[in-house]
Parts: sequence; C-alpha cells; structure tokens
Amino acid sequence: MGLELNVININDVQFGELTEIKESALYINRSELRDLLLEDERLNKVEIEIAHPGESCRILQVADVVEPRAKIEGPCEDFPGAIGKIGRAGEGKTCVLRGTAVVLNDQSEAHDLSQAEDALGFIIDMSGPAADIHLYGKLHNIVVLPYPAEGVSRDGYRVAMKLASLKTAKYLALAGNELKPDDIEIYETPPLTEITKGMEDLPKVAYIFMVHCTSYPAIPGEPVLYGDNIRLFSPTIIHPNEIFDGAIVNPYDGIGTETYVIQNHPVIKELYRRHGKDLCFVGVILTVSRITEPERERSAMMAANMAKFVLGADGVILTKASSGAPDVDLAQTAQRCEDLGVKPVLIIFDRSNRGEVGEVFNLPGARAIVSTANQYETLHLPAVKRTIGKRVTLPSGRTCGGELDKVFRFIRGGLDQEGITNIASVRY
Amino acid sequence: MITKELERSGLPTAQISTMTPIALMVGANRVIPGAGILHPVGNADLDPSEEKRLRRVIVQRALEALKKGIQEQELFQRSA
Repeated sequence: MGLELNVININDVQFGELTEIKESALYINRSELRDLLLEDERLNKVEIEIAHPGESCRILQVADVVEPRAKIEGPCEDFPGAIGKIGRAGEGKTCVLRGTAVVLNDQSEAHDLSQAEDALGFIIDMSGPAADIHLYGKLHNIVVLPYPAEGVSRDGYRVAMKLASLKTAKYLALAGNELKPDDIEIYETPPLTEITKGMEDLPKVAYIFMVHCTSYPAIPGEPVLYGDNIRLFSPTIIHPNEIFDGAIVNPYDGIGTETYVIQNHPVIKELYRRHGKDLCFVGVILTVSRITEPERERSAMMAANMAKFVLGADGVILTKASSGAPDVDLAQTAQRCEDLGVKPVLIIFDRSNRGEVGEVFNLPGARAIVSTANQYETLHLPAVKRTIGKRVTLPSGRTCGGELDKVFRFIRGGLDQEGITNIASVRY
Repeated sequence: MITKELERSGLPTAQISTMTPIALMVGANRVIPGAGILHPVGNADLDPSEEKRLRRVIVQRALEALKKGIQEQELFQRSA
C-alpha cells in the first residue's frame, strides 16, 4: 500500500477574503469556516483565532492538535469514519500543510476538562520556555473555539468539538490540493508475504501502539479508530500508512499525545526511514489498555503472539497511552514478548518527581526503556500579552495570562508518549 | 502501601485489586483480583442477581484468604 504526502510549507497564516494559499501563506475565510463548523447543531458559536510562533500568546484548554490534511486522491474521504465515510486510509495522495496546526480549545466546564489540574487545562505558549520544549509553540496555529449549544450533553459536546477540529483540518488543507508541493514523502510497504524480500539478514522490527485507555468512561460516538470508540478491542494488525492518513484520532481523554503526533508518528517514521537499511519494519499492532486482569493478560498475550508468530518480529517497540494503569498493560505486553524471544523496548515518560523511574517495571522483561522526560519538571512561564480561550483566575490568585508555574504534563506537547519531543530524562 | 502498614501493625490484610502486578510488587501478601479498575467488587453491566453473586464470590474469597496461613505472597485467583 503506497501513500504520498504532498507537503506544502506554510510560513504565515492570516484571515482573508478567500481560503487560499499564496506564496506559502495560508489565508482563511473566517466566516466561511465558521459557517461550516456551525452546521453541527451541537454548537451554537465558534470562534477562530490565529497564533504565530514568537508571539507573546498563551492558548488555554487545548483538547487536541491536528495537522491540516486533505486527500487529493485515494480510496477514502478525510478522517474516514469520523467526518468522512468509512474507507481505506493510507493510500493515494494527501495534501499536508506543514508549519501549521489546528488547535482545539475546550469550552467545557472547568471540572469537566479531561485530565486537567485546573481551569487552564493544557496550554500552549507561543514564546518563552514552554515554546522551547514542545513543537506546537513553533507552528502557526489556527485555534478553533467551539461553544456547546443549550442542552447539549457533556459527551455530545466532546464529540462535536473533536469533529470540528477534524473538519477544520480538512477545510484548510483543501486549499493546497491543486498546488505543487514543496516536498513529497512516500510511504510504501508491501504485505507480509513480500516485505522481507532482500532483507532476510536484517532484524525484523514491529511496533506495538497502544492508542487508547479504556479506564475512562466511554464517550458514545467518540471517533478513535475509523470512527469507532474501540472499547472491547483486541490487538489488531494495521498497516502503518493508515495511521499516517487519518484512521486514528486521539481520544478525548488521551493525554500525552495529540492527533498531530499520530499523523506524524515519530516511531513509525523512523522505522520507515531505516526500513531496508538496518532493519526490516514488519508491521504495527494496535492495542488498547484494558481494565480487568484477564483482559490485560489476553491483550498482552495476543499482541505478543502477533508480533512473534504472524509478523515474525525479532524486536518490538512499545508505547503507551494515558497515565498510570496502562503502565501495567505495557509491561505485561513487553514481558510476553520477551518470553517469546521478541526483544521489547519501551518508550515511556518518567512520572516521578523524586528522580525515580516510573511505577511498574519490576517485570524482568521490561528492561530497555527510553525516556521522554519527567512529566513533573516545572517550568516558570512568563506573563503573556494575549490569551486565547476561557479566561480564568486560579484559586491561588494567578491569572491565566500572568506568570505561571506549570509542569510538563500540563503543557500540550510537554508530555510525550511517542517520542516526538526533543527532551528526555537522564539519570547520572 | 496501606496494606503493608496494616500488616506491620499486626492485622492480616486481604487486598482486592485489579492491578494485581502492582499490588504484588508493592508487597501486599494476600491479593485478590478485582472485577475491574472502575468497580473492583462489582460490575454494573451484569444482571442484578449475577452481580450479587459476583460481589459475594469476591468478598468471600478475600475472607478465605484472611483465614489462610501463608509463607509468601499469594494471588488468590478467581475460579468463576
């Protein structure tokens, strides 16, 4: 299956009369986009703002970040199952507007903000120390602020706002579909019957990708995999291209990952880059973290079985979703792989604030661990001139635009599950 | 952790937990697998009489575990 990403580099975003791209600048017809998003009756108001890298600006209550992408040709509509008809993602040509992102602001009540420690939710700073540690401060961000209509349930709003961010991503990228791309990225791997041809001597590496944690109450209608809410989910083999091309949308409760990261998945990209050179990338297994011990055991066992006996992997990289409980799923899956002779490597953020490594790694198989930094490192953030999102004053008296102390965990992109950041925790 | 302190003070303790690897790792001696992270001793998806049976089975197993003399950590698996 072959996917061609037509990348258009964008170095500025402004509002304009038409939504178009001229000389690497994206212009947005604000009212047309607003009308498009208001077609969803669950929303009664939508604001759209733009934030530029380097600006003294803080974006509040960030629920997700999505890279603008639109299919140019291929067998599916954009974000199939979520906003498009169900169809095969990962094939054909997709336009990508690089250098920009759709940032989704969450206007839920403060106590409903998923995973948040306070009413600020997850923030993005466009300048200052936070902008250094995460990639979203370096992008031209189109911030979408959807407001729930009267009487819409909490979960109904969560789905509506997620869909609004995906629709925006598609709407913006359509402006680039006819243009000549600045870069073309090609991703192609054949099925298992052919993938090792010419690579018989190279180590076979697979990737086990935990996309969701089912500890949280289900949000009916929430799109995760091809629009499905994947609750009772058994490990499943999927083609890596599908992950790049909109088959997976980050769950609302999923911290440490954004849809942007999934679209630009660093582990998969690196495996592709080295495929045929020093390794053979044999495939991806999707899993979710389960809530009972038998389910966890079953999932760990099946995932390891697939890695060993179907994909024929010599080694496997594992990442996780969400917070504490999935550590156990991760470690158990790694242990089952080790038991079968498939060497596991785990990528995980360090969770303690005392310099110790995260909780659950006394399983001997979980030995090789790559850190993506300690989530409780504190950054002192300066005051900003502008904030986008629900203005709040914290109980401490600090205002949302003033000086703040924030740990990495609550900065969007500061907590990283898949290794897209440029920071790590090192023990001396 | 609470379990360890209780035992340190002399009270045999049975821990019902869904995260059994963690319970064992931290040092609980009598561990009973729970029914789910969100509902360790029940399951609202079940028919009420089934659910009552499940609750009874889990709590009963915890009580049995307390009676048992053990020399090392034990995981009291559910058979039903």
